[in-house]
Amino acid sequence: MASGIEQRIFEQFVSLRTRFRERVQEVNAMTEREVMSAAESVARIVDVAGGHVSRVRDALSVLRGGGGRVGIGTLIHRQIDAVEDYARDVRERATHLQADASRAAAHTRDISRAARSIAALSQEAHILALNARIEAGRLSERGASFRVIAGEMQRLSKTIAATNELIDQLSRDLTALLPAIAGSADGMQALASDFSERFAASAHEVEQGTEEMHRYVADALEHGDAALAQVVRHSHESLSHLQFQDAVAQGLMRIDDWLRAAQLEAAELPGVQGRAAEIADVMHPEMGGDKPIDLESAGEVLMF
Amino acid sequence: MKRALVVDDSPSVRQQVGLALRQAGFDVVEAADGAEGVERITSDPTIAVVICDVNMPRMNGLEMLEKVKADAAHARLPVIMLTSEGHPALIDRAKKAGAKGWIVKPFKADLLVAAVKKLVA
Repeated sequence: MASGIEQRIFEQFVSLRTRFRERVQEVNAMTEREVMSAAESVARIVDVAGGHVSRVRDALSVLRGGGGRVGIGTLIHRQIDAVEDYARDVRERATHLQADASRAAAHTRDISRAARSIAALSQEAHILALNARIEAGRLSERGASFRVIAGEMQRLSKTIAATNELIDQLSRDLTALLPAIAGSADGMQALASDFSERFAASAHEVEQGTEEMHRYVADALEHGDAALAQVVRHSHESLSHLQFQDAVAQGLMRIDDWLRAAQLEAAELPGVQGRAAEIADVMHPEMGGDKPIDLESAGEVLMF
Repeated sequence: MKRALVVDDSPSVRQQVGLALRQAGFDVVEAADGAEGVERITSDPTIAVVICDVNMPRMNGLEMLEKVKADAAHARLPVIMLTSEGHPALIDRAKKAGAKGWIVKPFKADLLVAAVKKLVA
């Protein structure tokens, strides 16, 4: 009778341990699978955060330039400088035009003075020709050649007078135009100056806007870096906590050690002797026996 | 990019150590026991550091450490033991065999990364 009870006890142990080992293997496999999925999710979170920060860093790089690339701020400055140079060129050309108009006005005044001198000379020649005709008349036949020459001189002086009048008229016309030219030069200069002022104001706004954008992106990057550092830190904490699975798995396998020890004792019972061979080995022989999990030392780092 | 070898029979531990080290900029390769760890080390001269469990089937971590350090070619390869064991006799054995560190599981990822970075610096 006693051996019958002992046999049943032993068989119950075997059955219990078998079911326990099966369930431990199921639980360990499931928890390991879920923990690894959770760790992969943590890793994806870190990757997404890191990718976002990297994109902000790229945006800042485009703004700042570097690595062979010219920053947007520099490009804008170059365009501003080019437009300001152009406006300055226009103002200088307008100034030159004004100077040229002034010199032209002085020349036309000289032309008018010369024309008046020529007119006076022409008048003198005309008078001389008249006197020559009079003297030729006194000489009667002997003065015929002289009369011809006098006639020609008179004709020539009239031609000179007419041509001189034309020159004088042209000079007056030119003089009348010069103020309009000078006025256009003034207008160009005023336009160029006005454009420079308005452009400078707009350029200043653009520069301020670019600086502000630069600050916002740099600030976003700084916050992004700090946030990424936090994400990595929290991911490390998560990875540390996810190790519970390994500790729990080892703990469950240590229970198998206890059950085996109880089985070995049961195998010593008189009615059960000879059945020790039916006792399965421990689940995790490399664990080296039933030792408690050293939670107090958990995380300790000893460097040699 | 420095290469780290993680030797542990637990896939989840290999994954978690690998994730922590990859986030820190390491390239990570794995082995599931001491024998596979020895094969990896002898065939890959780019491995710069080893993180190794103690209790593993086929060949445990201390046996792997002793075998690797017996080869002069790996005398300077830093090895950190990562294990739930904390027995002074085991720690002493690892130290004598040439291990550079001993970390008790469950580890803190930032401390593990700091220790590994210090060894490869």
